[in-house]
Amino acid sequence: MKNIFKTANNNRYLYRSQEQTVMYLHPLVEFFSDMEDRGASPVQWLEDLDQRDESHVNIENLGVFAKKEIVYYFTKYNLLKEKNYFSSVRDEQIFRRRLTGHDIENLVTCCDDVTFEVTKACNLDCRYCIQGELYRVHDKHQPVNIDRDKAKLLLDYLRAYWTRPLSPERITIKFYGGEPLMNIGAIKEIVDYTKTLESTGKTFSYYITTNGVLLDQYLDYLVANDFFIAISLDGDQDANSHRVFPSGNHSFEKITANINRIRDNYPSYFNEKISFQSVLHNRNSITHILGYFEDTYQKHPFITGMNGVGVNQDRQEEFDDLRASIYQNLYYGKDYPLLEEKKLNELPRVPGSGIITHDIYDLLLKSPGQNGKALRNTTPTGTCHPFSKGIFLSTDGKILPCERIDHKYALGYVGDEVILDFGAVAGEFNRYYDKMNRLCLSCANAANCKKCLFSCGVEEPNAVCKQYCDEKDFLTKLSGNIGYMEDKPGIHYKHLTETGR
Amino acid sequence: MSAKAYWFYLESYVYVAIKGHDVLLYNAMTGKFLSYTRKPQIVEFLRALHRKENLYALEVTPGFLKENRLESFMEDISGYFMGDLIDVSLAPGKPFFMSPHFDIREEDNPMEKRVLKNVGKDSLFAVTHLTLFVNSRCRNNCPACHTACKQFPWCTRGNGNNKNNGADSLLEIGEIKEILDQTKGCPIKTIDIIGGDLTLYPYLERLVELLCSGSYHVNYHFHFSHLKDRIPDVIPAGGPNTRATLLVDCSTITSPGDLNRLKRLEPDRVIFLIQKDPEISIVESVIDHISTPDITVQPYFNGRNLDFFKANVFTDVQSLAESIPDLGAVNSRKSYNTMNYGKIFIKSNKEIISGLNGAPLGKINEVSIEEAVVSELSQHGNWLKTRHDVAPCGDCLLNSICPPLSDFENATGINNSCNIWKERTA
Repeated sequence: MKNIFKTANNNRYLYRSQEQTVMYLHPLVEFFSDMEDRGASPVQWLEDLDQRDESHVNIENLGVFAKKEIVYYFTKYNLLKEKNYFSSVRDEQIFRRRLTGHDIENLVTCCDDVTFEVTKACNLDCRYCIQGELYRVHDKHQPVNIDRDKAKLLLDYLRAYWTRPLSPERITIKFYGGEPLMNIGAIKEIVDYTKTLESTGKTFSYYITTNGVLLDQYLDYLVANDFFIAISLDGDQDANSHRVFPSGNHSFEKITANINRIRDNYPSYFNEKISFQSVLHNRNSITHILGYFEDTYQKHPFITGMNGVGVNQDRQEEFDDLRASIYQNLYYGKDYPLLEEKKLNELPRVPGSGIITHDIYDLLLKSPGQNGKALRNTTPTGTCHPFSKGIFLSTDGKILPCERIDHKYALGYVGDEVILDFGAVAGEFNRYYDKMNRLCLSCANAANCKKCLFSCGVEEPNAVCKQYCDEKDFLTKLSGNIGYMEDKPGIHYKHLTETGR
Repeated sequence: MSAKAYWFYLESYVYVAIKGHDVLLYNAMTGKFLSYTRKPQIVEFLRALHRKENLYALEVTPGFLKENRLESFMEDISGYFMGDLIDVSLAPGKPFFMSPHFDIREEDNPMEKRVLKNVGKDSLFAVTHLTLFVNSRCRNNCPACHTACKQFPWCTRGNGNNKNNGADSLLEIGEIKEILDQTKGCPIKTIDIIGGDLTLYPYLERLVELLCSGSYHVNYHFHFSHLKDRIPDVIPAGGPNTRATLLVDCSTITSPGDLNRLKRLEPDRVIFLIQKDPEISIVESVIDHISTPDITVQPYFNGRNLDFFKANVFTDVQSLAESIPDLGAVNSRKSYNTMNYGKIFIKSNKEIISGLNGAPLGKINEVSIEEAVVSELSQHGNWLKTRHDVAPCGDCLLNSICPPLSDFENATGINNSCNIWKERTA
């Protein structure tokens, strides 16, 4: 399928996948391209035209053009054709790269993020929790805690890699749950243990994601150890009303009292080390979230949507009722005015949801790397290479590349020792790549994909990628989004000035 | 005067360099370029195009073009397919245009010496190529011994102390192993091994064994005069990633016996060093008789053959146009030396250098490779040295289109190894 598309404003463009650029195309260039596609000869047509006396020619549906103009655009069409500008949307890139054990070893060496799931227990019962009843796999916050010795074994194992030349200088230790503060003992023990590792020359920083309920009890400890604290809060009382105690009571008052305690007692710490995370759902909006945090705390939260993977089919309707689309809200809904007002880096990113604004600039305006080619994936899908973002240890000793992946995809295990076979990890990933590759090879957005293969049911007989688009879909989306930019030059300008692209 | 209006834009494959009232436009699709000297109206117009509020397209009328003496500029742009004037009636909703590549050099803000910020954490990942001068011992006394190695990788006795007191130097196997350990994880695909006389390196077999266990492509460089009838057996035994490269000074091929020996050796690659025109014919005749598929002809500047270089090596406008560097290469060449970036050389006297003419970054038993790389990147050394940094190239608008600064230029100080400067300033 040819790489030409038209917008609603009737402007024509050519998409170059090799450089990920979009070129405006004069209608006559498309005219000649269509002519050849129909099997007619533009050369013959031009010769016939030459026989005619008139200096201008009316081309149906296009307009009146001077002969000289027609010849010029035919020459341009031929030049573009000769230089292979008319090609398939899906360039010939094949994702040949596969990982080796050596690659995995390097990734572990360079990894600067270690996350411990210290407990599965939680003191809230948020309606949209991925461990809750809306999802197929849920454990109702079983009070299972991490084995502290296993956590230390993992740190001892990583110590050997932290002495290597390529290892990072600073390591971030993160604590995750359930609600991690429900196992403060494990947190303290792990933090204390990292302090014994200072002989490695590394510095350690600490990070915790918390619902904020227990902050009043452990705040002094967290401050003393310079923790970065991310607090989950969805907005005001009503906006936060999905985040409830198991009794059904709202958590808002308790959490905000704790937040205010931090702000009042540790104002500098509050400014530098406290951040907020909000989930978009049916009781809030992006406008509300941003406004609430700006007015109340002078902070800018990280906004995500509800996770659409692994939803319990019996609860799908309930899920759909709760869920709100960041994409829809921001670009077509009530939150649209934010695009006009706010700086782009204050707005939630919507990777992979469509190719508008953030994505259009990822697609089109990345700086060219060497050889003029845009930066692109080298392995199928947009999955992070294992351990490139971090190492995650679950309560039951499983080693995973991040906390968002189903634990059935564990890559290693901590028992009496750390079992992490680099060759086997590479082999496993390569098997996943080979399986997804059959889809990626025919996907028009493969080079720019941001989809994680673990959300595609890669172990199912027929893996499904919701981001898959064929060439027609791709060009249709691109047409819509370029058309959007045509209609909203202010947004286009904002991107150019705020992203530096 | 007609009120017809047009959108003027430049294609995204166009590179625009502006300095003062001079401008160069390069079409990366076709390799063609346009240049204008002392044309303030063109420069002003392009600067307006560059301003983001215009979204890379300007609405113009024939009257405007005439008033501003831009008509013939428009014809040039269209003629070279670098841009276009689109009748607004064909595109009433202003189309979406991607930016051409602007390189605007402000007079009062000359390009600062670039150093990389935040050098450290990932610096070692920059290393892509390793060259080890494993020994300096050699029984020859070639005229080019101490100078060829400054212009391109070539064997030399000059890395030891033997220029002064006859003492040779070499890299011990343990030292090489340490180098490999320190660079484990770097994206090194190729390692070049050069001497002295490699056949006199006492650990050659152990070296081959050590290197063939990695995933590198390894090239062992032997001077033609060092080999009688065969490449040392240990080389082909090193496996498919191990190659023998023969260094041949054409001035030493004087008899049929030399040619026969060359044929017998059957190296994987041959580099012919040439200094004058007749040697080009020698190479051409030799190539017909040997089966080696990979042949490089390497011009060598001996201090007396500048005319030879001007005639055969210097760039001119036509060869620049034929090379058609793409925009990625053009952008890269502004920022770093795309030929030398990532290359580390370790001499037999243990010194670590980042280019054949580079100052030592330390010795391998005193600094780590990582420390050497950090030092290189922090100090705007060979890796970051571009034509923007040297005269007269720094003033030339073509300096990002031209090939990067070569070691020949670094060694000889003849930076503008081109015939273009003369053409443009004549």
